[in-house]
Amino acid sequence: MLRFTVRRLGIGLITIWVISVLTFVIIQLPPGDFVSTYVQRLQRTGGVNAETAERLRVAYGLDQPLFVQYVKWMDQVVHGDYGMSFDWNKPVGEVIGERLPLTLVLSVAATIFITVVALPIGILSAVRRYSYADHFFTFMGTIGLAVPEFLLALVLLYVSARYLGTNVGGLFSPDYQDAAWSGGKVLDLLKHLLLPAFILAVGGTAEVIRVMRANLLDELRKPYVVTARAKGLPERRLVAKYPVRVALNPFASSLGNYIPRIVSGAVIVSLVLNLPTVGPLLVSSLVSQDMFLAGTIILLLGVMTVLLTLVSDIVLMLLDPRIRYRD
Amino acid sequence: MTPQTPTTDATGPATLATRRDGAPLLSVRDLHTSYFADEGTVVAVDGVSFEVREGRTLGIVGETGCGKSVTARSILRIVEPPGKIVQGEILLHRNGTSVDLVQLPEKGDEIRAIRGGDIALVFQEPMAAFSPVHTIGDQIVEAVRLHSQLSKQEARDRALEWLRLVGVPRAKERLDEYPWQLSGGLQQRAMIAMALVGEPRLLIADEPTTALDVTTQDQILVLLRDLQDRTGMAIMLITHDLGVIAEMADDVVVMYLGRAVEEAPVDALFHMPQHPYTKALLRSIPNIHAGHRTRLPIIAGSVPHPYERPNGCPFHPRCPDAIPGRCDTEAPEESQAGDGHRVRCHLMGTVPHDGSANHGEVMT
Amino acid sequence: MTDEITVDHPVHDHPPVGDDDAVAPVHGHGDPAAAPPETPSVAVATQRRLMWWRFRKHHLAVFSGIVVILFYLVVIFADFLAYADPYATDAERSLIPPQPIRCCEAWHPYVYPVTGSRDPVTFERVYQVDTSQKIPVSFFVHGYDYKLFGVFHTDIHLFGVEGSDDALSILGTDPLGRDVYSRLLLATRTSLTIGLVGVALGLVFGVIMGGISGFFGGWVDTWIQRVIEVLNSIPTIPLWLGIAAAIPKTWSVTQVFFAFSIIISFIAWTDLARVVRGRILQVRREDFIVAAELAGSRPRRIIFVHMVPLFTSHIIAATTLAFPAMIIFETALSFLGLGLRPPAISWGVMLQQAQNVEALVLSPWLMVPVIPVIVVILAFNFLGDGLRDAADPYD
Repeated sequence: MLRFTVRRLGIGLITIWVISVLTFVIIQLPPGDFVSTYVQRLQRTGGVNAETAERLRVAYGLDQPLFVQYVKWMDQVVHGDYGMSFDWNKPVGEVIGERLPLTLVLSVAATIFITVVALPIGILSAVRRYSYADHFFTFMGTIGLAVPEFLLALVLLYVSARYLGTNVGGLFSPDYQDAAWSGGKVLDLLKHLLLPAFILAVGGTAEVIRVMRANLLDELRKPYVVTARAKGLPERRLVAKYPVRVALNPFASSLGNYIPRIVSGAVIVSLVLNLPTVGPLLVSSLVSQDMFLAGTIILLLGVMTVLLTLVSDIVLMLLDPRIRYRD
Repeated sequence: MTPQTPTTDATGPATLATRRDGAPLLSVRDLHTSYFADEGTVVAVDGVSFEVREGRTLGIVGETGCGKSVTARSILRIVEPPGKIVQGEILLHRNGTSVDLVQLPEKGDEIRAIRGGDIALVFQEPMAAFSPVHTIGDQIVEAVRLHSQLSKQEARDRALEWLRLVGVPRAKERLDEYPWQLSGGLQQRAMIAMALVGEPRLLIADEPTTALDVTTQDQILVLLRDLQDRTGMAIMLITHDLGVIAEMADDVVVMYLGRAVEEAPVDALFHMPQHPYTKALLRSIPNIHAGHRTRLPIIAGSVPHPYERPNGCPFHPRCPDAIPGRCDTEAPEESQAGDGHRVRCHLMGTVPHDGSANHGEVMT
Repeated sequence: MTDEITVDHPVHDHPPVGDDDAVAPVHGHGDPAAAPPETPSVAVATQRRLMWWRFRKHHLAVFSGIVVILFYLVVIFADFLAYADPYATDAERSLIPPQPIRCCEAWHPYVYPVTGSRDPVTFERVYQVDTSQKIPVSFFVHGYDYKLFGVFHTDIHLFGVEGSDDALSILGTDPLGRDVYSRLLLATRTSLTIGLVGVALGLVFGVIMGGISGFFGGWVDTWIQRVIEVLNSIPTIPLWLGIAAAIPKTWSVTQVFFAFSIIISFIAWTDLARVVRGRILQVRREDFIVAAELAGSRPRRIIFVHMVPLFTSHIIAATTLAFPAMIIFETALSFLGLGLRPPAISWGVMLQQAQNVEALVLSPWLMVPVIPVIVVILAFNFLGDGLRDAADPYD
């Protein structure tokens, strides 16, 4: 058990490190070093002198090799200083503000949605193989796998605007938009979360149903199921207690693997639906080459994904005693 | 059924409703089970009849694919779709009445009470027969509570007793361990315990020792015999190993391609085999006393593809004594070859070319 | 017990005639060439035949295969199938709703002409359909110039209105007055070509990495697996968004195209590498490989002569399944403005004009690229599934 946890943690840390390096590369890609660009912009709006510019230059180590710059940047990030956003003229942390937690909430909501929907359907599909229900869900699942989330969002947006007269974009109603957090606001959020979570979850649900069905079908044929039946267990109880329980393992595993896609999807879907999450911000900052903002968002998204995956790994460990006792 | 505590007394509790007088316990009559797949129909059991008697061991022997496992599953009504019992009766005799298991609804309460309660099943691969994510104790206790009214703690105690009875050391710790933490032999013992907690009158053992090494094999067989002495249960032992049959069985049924080709008490089978297939099987056992560089006798040909059952007698393509025109068109009827000794062969009453004596009389 | 059973009785073949037992397919001992296709001689069919038979059973996969072929025919003949110059803008024809072709006047299909004017109050363009006139549509008309197969200059198009370039707009026009249908055809060409190039690059890289991983095993394998594991746990879209955004705006369309293909190929290679590695590991332990090694064959011969044929089919299946991801990716990024940019035409670029919901409500035909995207993805998925199932004929 310990080895498993340590291994997953290790991989997680390495992943975060890789992401930070890639992010740094992305930040550096646009021509010209960013401080000069930054300084240029500030000078245009009239707010900096040579001293500040020099200070910034030293702080980011611009006259030193890239490797050093990276270290300096990471040093600041770890201390919570993500740099300045050119576009917004505010510290990046402030700009991101609430958006990142909301992205987290959206991702988690999508994951819960998948679990709640895919698990029973997957079980039903396997147990009642070749029935109408099975064929129907398999078909819907295949369609679900094929439709990219952002296109689904687009179409639903159109449909709701044209036929329902409402704009389903946004995570809050106008009243709650800038209000302080309260019970009402939470409820409002939940109401608005439903559609985006659904859109995000469609692809994942289809895939996880497929995995659950396939694995359960495999398990249903195994000797321990026959033993349980031969013991005299009623059919429903034995299916729920034995093969489903064993098939939960690959279910949780595939769900965990899907988490990066959920986070990715959240970015695009929130753009289409104009949600106050990190997505629209990322794209706009990339288009205008506000590199600190963009880079930080990418880094934080990566870290968030790794953490979520770690949580799912722990759940996996709790589910499967074989992992706990062996390696 | 009032819960009985198995004692360590060698004679076993006298109040258990089993007798050793050999009265019929289970009668299988003309059983036909087939699998209906898209590619075709496989007839797995093609008209098998035999009797299992109280307190005695019936051995069912045959090659892979001869239908012995399907027979066992048919008895417990756990044949997997697309398999189905097509015809026949399986009569369980108890308390003076008989229940036809074939007529019972497959998912009903009655058959479920019988599974594990009257008839229990033990498998070939004990590792695969236990759920890997539940403890041994969990699984055995479940079996106890299915067939009794015991509380959780009482059931756990009962499970512990049985584990000890089957010879699992440190049984208390084992209860909370997972199946994959035990060795193959211990797993098999645990599986036997799990099967017997319901105090069945018949234990069906489907290749119980095939997956074990020879030493463990022996231990398990000894265990089974011991338990049979204690509880007076009948055993239906399914195997392809004639050595196991010789050691354990009282009566034997030889199966080929879904048919019972010979049925006899064990001594009669080994010393006076009647059916060519039985004779060939016996001949093919490696003989430690055979001369230097002697070829191992084989049975010519191979078991036919399940979709292509031969006409007439299923064994005739491989039979050295097949009568052309008779054996390949007409399925042999059952004939009596002695006391409790039945054979299905057209050769009964004729002299085969290998000179072995044929004691039978054809029953028309 | 020393007597033998003499082996002078051959195994009898039993013809299915007169057998009232189970259905009996023709026994494998027969002549394979004589076996009718309905009852395949399963025991002696070649590997490729088996795979084809299995594939054929999946009607959906076969149908999808046809769909894919049709799409790639569009790729080749895009200009021929179009009728209006996809790049020609015309403010006067902005946002015309779709005008269907109707049947028929004197054996000719026709369309009604559309005239546009500006509403004096809202300053929006409005269009009136003139049902009194019927403009005939004919086949093989002259239209705008293009190069067939990139080589032959011609101006023949499959259908259109002779003598007029802008009478037809069967799927409407976009805000810049360009015909949506014609643009859709060219978008198909671009999107599917990028998919192809991306998959090809990903395939090469994936096969190399997977091959090295599987063949050499040991720590090389472990390290490559770790790398793949790490890459898979990164949310890809934000990352590639960043990289795509870094493509200089000054690059030409072709340069952007190729840079983009390379970026996309990074998505596909991990899956392909995994499949290749899995197959190699499986195959290595096969006895005939060991036999070849023992016989002294060199690694190169073992790989190419013995192993490669075994997993070619798996790779084909995995590659087919990689297409959808490519296409989604390109469409998504171009949609966001971070992928291909105008004047390039791709599904994503076309959908960019559909971003605004209010505009979309008024001109829903701008969403039409959604349909080919979904159809192509479905088709590749079904096809890939069918190929994957067929790839293991001995399963």
